[in-house]
Amino acid sequence: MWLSDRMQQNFHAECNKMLQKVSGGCRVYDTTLVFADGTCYKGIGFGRKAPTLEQLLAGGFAQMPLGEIVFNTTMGAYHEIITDPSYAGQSIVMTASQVGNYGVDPDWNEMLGEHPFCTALILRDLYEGPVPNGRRTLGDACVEWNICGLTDVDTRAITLHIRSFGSQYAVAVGEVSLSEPDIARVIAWIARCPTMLERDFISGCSVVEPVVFSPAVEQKARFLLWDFGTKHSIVKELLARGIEVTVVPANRQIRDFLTGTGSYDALFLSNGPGDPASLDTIVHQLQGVLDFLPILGICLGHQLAARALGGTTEKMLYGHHGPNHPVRDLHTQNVYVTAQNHGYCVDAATLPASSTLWLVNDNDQSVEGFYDAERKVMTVQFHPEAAPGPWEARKLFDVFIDFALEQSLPAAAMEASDASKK
Amino acid sequence: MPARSDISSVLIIGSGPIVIGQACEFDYSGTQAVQALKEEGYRVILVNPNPATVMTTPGIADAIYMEPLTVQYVEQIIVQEHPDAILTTMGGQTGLNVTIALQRAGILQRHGVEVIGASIASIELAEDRRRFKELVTSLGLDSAKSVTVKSIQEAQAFKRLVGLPLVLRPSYTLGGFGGGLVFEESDFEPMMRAALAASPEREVLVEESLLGWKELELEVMRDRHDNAIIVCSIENVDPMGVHTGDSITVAPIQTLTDTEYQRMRMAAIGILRAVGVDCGGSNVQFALHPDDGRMVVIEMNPRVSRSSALASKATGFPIARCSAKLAIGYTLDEVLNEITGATASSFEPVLDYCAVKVPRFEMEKFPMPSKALGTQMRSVGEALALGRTFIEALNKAFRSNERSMEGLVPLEQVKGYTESDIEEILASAHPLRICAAFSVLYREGSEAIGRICDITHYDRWFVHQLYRQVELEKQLCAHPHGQVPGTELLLKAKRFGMSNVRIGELVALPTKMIEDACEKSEIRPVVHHVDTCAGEFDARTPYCYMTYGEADEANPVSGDSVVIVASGPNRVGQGLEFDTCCTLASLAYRSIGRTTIMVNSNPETVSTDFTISDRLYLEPLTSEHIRQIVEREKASAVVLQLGGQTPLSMLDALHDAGVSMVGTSYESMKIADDRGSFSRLMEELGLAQSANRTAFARTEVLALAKEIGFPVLLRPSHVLGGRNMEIVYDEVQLATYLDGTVLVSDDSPLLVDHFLEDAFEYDLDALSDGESIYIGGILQHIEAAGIHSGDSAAVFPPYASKPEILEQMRKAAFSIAMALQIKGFMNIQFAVQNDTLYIIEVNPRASRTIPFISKMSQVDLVGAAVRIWEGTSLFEQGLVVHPGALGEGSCKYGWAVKEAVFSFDRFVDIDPQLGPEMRSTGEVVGIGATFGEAYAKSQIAGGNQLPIRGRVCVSVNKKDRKTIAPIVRQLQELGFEVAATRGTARDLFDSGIVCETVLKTDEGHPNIIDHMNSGRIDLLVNTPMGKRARRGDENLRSAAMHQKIPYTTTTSAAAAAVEAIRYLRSQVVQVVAL
Repeated sequence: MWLSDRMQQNFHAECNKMLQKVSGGCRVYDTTLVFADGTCYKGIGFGRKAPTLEQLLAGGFAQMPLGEIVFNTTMGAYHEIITDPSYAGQSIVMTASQVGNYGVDPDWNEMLGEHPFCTALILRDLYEGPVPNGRRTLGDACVEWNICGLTDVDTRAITLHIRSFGSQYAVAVGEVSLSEPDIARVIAWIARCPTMLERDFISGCSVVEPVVFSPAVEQKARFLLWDFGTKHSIVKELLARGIEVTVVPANRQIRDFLTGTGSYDALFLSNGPGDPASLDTIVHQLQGVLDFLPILGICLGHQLAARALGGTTEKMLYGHHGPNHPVRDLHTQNVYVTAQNHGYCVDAATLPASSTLWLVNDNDQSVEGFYDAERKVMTVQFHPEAAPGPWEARKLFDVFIDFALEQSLPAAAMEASDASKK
Repeated sequence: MPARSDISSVLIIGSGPIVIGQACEFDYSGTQAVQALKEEGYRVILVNPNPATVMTTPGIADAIYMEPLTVQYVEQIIVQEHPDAILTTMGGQTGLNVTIALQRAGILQRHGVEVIGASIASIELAEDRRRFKELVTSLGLDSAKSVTVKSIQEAQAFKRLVGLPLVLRPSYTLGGFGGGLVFEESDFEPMMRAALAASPEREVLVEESLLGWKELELEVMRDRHDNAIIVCSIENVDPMGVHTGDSITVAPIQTLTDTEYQRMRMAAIGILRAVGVDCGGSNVQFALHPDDGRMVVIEMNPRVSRSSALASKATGFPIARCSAKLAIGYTLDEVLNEITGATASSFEPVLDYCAVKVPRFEMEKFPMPSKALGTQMRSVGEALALGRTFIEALNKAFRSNERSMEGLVPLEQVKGYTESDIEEILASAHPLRICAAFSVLYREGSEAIGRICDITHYDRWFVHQLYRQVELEKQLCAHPHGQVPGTELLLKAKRFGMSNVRIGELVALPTKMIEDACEKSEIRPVVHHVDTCAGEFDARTPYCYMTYGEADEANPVSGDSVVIVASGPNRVGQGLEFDTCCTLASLAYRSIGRTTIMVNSNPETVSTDFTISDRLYLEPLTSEHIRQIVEREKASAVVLQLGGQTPLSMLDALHDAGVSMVGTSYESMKIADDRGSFSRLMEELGLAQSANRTAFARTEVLALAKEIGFPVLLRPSHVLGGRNMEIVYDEVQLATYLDGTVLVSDDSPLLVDHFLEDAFEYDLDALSDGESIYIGGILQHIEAAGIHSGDSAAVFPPYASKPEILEQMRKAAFSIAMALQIKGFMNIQFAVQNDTLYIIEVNPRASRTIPFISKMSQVDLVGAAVRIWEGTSLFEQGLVVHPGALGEGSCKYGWAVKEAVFSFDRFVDIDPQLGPEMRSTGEVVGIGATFGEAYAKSQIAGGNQLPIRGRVCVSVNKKDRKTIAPIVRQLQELGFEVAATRGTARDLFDSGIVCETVLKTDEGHPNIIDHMNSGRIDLLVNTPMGKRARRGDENLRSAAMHQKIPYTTTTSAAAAAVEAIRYLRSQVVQVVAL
């Protein structure tokens, strides 16, 4: 760092005074973000107060603002990102420098419940001024959501760090400056925390009881949506296409729903947080229902489906989290600009012979989607429901539905979808 | 899909001269397109008569034609070159218009030229307002609601539907005459009645008003596979009602929700698809209601544009280059993103900074009646700045704009505006409105945010950002005066983008102390890369900006680089030609192995293309920023000779900071700059200057003027393009001038020169290594002395000059170059009156004629200068025959005439009079085997069609009557009818020419202007009549300008016109490749 700690400290003290005045009573405090590798970044806290060093060392990981650090390159759209349950256990760095500009609005919530699941939000410049009528400031929302916020952080430096060294745990500490021994204690504390692989996120993110959503348009099918932390937009996209959606809690036996009364046209596996390798119980259940009915999936759902078919998943260095990923359709050679949010991906080589690689990422060639006509599985890694992000891949929901209901294969289905638009 | 192999040569049409609304962005896009096509192996043929451009530099395209952009000439080029295709999208509106005209004339079909880039059909669809509106509706999107009515009742029905305010546009009237905006119910009927009455068809277009809505733009690329990306989103800080070119803008969009943005994104792509843009870029503009979010499509441009240049520089994504590749068959995913070097172009750039554009206005040169901006673009240039936050970028952009504002500043502090002035500015669409908002926040605090939003319709987010700076400035002001602020506060101010000068002002300390305090506290700028991906990929880009208080990303680009200071935003007097010099210098340096660093703030330019230099800094051109870049990069030297006046304005500051400058010494530069020492030097060298004095107070001016004798030329020192420059003929005029806005003080003295009436002016551009001199060329002005050299037509070589006089010029140039030990460029302006040579001024820098002379003489003067700076003498370069000799270039294409082009039609009430104050925005060249051909082509290229038959009206002063007679006789022989004012007619009669006599303007009616207005006059020859008739002359010129009647103000220009007319009557159309 080119600035001495003392200077940084003074600088932030000064900024604090400013911000306190501006934000009209929103509490702010100096906060340091300590990475598992010992790298520290300072910022001004907002939202939930970060624990002091003593509180941190005495506390359990679940109560502390400990998260796997990921950066998201979306500009704007902070509300949808923060409320996406896939961020459970993660701390989000927004690379866009101005955040909170137009306030927050519960209508934009992506979680089905009341509270988001990410642990911390790290920004370059938080907006604390007036927002449009009927909305609240992001700072106020973070207080209510109990999210630990940091602003005035060198988010670009963090991004470059993650890009080079990969995602890792970091924890926010409500201290101005930490000595070398202090940092060592925090590192040791982090090291004692269970890894992402060892943690269960999906039960916390899932609905507690089954919920049925009925479409406002003419109903044409019934889907089960197995909820590992689904985004509301997935449900909305299905509803808009006449699909009745029964959201099933993650910890329920899925077979019970298939053998009971009523029949479902497809099982939809939702997105969700964490490492798919930690979800073998789900994978086993899936293997039990494969061939019973078509299986569709997005993100974590895609990874679980791949594992159920015998494929493997691997952790990426820092994942894909942004609104601008080029995804190539190997059938049409078209490239979609897609929204992505994942830290794990499917290893293409491990998919069974019956599966067809359908979509790949044009930047790193990672798997973005496949289907298996024999096993009636079709899933994508990215987020066709967008929210946030580009809407152009939303038409994949039509492809999903046609595949589930008519057994149409993607290229044909896409053509049909394009034709219907014309 | 690979590049197309069925075509092998492509014709690209440039945009011609710079006018308001069409500036150097098209040199940038055209140059990129040429390079992109050449690297794919295509033969590229280029047409552009603008000599200032990079694109017309030999070597850029395979064949370069500097011919008029008319169907006739372009067809001739097509006949000569047989291009397989024509790329339509690179030459702005001019390029599109020419292509459409070629198509309509059947020329493209006849010669088998395929249109690539954007099809004629899609261009026409996008340009036809009605059809475009229908298309928008068919996509389920909104456009502004409107109805064409023939009665008040119909209008009322529409009003009930959409409510007030409404825009009334009477059909078939010019310039919106009779229309307006209705805000009040009570105004509706009377205004409607007036509007109906104003229309000859009694027809009015009634449209809903979008005033105050948010205005947004998306830059979209789409390929033949229906892949589409948004390269950049831009939000206008100024809401609807101010032309986007005149608005302060920020990229990316800041105040839209994701749903609003994505809806707009899909709409934009849908519009491209429907219009049929399938291999290139377009710009789509939207308005968004700030409260209910209703989105209205405003328009789209199916080509690269000013915004796409801006978007390219804001994101690092080369839109024009990519468009060219798509035009020849590639798809987006096949075009590599050169910035990351790893990702495909089928991804959308994301920004982790803000890019703020502030337009540059010439309010002094083009006064705005109401001082308000409107729907027609009036800015002449723009500056872009990057910062991590909006406010940082905004402050930098204001500095970049070079309007003597250190950033966002309260108006009462810097411009002396009163509280009521500020309220008035706040309520109008004034260029300084954002500063007015800042002033009000200063005065009233955060309470005023709501009121400001209500008045200005700025989004509250923008206003709050201003308020944050108010808070910070108050902290600085509250700091004990005369004490250096603490490190924390100082760093915070720097992170807000504030300059050391401004911080110094606020704490009442000299700038130097702030600099020292920053240095002591180790507050230094850090470098960030513009990488298109917000840091997601390791992008080794050469494109950088600076910010404070963050991690530094870049090491010096080399241990021995040279920094080129470019010329900043386009303005009258400093434009494209200087950017071309900077660009060519960078290329020349690199070709001999030197590392270059370009610094510029003008996003329209080629110099800010990141491929031009080894490293590019988009930073304000002030001494603070340049010094920091030099220090950080450990650069060995700075080039100040190429960017016009901007780099020279930091001469002292950089010299004081110990920065080493390339070429001519600081001391010599100062001599050339200082009137006293320069006059002494001229005296020593035995060179004549017209009598001149310097006044340091208003009261001195009259005495000095009398001392040297009227007429006198008055001008403030250190101005570019002759601002506030005027010729006065007597005491009364002098008093009027001094009553105006001009400032006369010790710091800004007024220069008083004896005006050489009826003189010929010359421009001489030379290079020297301190030992020898190479004269690139001598240009003779065709217009009379007293018209700014930038506004005068000029011919290379001089066409009516005595060899002795030219020889005197060469000798003078040699002795001045030796005396000043010029290393590099030198421009001398001469005047010749009664066979006596006078030195008007010497500029020890590249002049605006360097690109023109370089091209016409086939000697790359910029390259030669660079080699001089690198130690290769003129002799070693083969430009002089022996050391200590004088060499001179010659025009290699027969005759070349450079003509000035104006943008007066943008300003309804402006007097188009030419004078010592430069007002032209661009220039064109005419090349010909004869002087007549060259002059004729320059006129055609400049949009000035000389008549080949009709009536010439002659009104010349006594001295000129002898000279004019044979000229008039020639016109008569060519079949022209002749009319003349009384005196002229009498003297013509004495010379044996009988003609119609017309009244002068002060002699009653019908007078000469009445004749002009009634279309009886096709050519006007009018030489200055001296002070008494000055006003009448001006009126004549105004009338000619408005009626588009060609006119000449010198007998020499009249003679030139005759030769041109003779050429035009020959009906020969010939074109020549450079």
